[in-house]
Amino acid sequence: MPHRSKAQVTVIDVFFACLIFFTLFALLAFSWNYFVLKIYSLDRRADMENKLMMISDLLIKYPGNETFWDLNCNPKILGLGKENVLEKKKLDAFANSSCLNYSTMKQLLGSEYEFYFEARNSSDIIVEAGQKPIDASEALIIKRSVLVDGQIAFANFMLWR
Amino acid sequence: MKAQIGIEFFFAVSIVLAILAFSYSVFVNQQEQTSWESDYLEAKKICTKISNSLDSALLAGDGFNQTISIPSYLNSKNYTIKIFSSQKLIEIEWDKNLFTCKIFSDNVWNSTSKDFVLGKESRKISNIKGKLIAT
Repeated sequence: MPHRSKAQVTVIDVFFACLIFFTLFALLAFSWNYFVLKIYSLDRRADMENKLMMISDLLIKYPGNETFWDLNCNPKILGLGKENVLEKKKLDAFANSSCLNYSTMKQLLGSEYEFYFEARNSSDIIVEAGQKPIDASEALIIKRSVLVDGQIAFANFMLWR
Repeated sequence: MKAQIGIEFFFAVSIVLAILAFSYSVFVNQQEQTSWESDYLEAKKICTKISNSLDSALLAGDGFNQTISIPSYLNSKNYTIKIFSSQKLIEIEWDKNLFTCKIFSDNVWNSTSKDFVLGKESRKISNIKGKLIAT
């Protein structure tokens, strides 16, 4: 009598095949998600770095669109001096929240990130403006050498979120 | 001998088809998302390039001249670049999507207007006595 056998797919085979498939699928989804987040994180960091450089350049290399914006407290474009030489009166106006409030400064600087600025000499803070980071997930700082009242100082500008 | 298809086979085929349908929908969704993200990043790149160029022209001062190259297509798609100088804004529009970025200056002009559509390919950015000209 010839041997008759029927090809069979048992439930247990299908179960294991599905298990392997979904494990690989989950692994792929996880890796995909990880790399997408990584790309966004790198892109955001590059964006912050670019803004940090441009805004710090604006503050230390541009005097503002009005020569004496520190008097009327109504600049259309911010700037604290020219070619790294900062004007003390503009620094004071920048740090004075009744002259320029924080949201106005953010708007003028075109930044969606929070910021903190300080000008300091080797021992003391000369002026500070903006908000210090609170529970920041990311912060970048740039330190620029400047002159304030003929003295060497540092303009530290920080962006955070 | 009679060919037989067992109930298990139907069961297995049903599961495989269900998985296939699920995988297909996930991949199509991801593909659309990736395509949008690619466009978004490209728009951001173009916007940043133009804003950096205008900001640099402002900071460099009177007499500054620069020619920038702007791609004709955004990932093979048509797009427009609008500069709203009075709002200090650059807007990139493609397929009903928008990306905006900020500029420092509110004094950017083409030959006649402060709010205008910027052309593609080679564009000249100049600073003439604090007035930025993009042509």
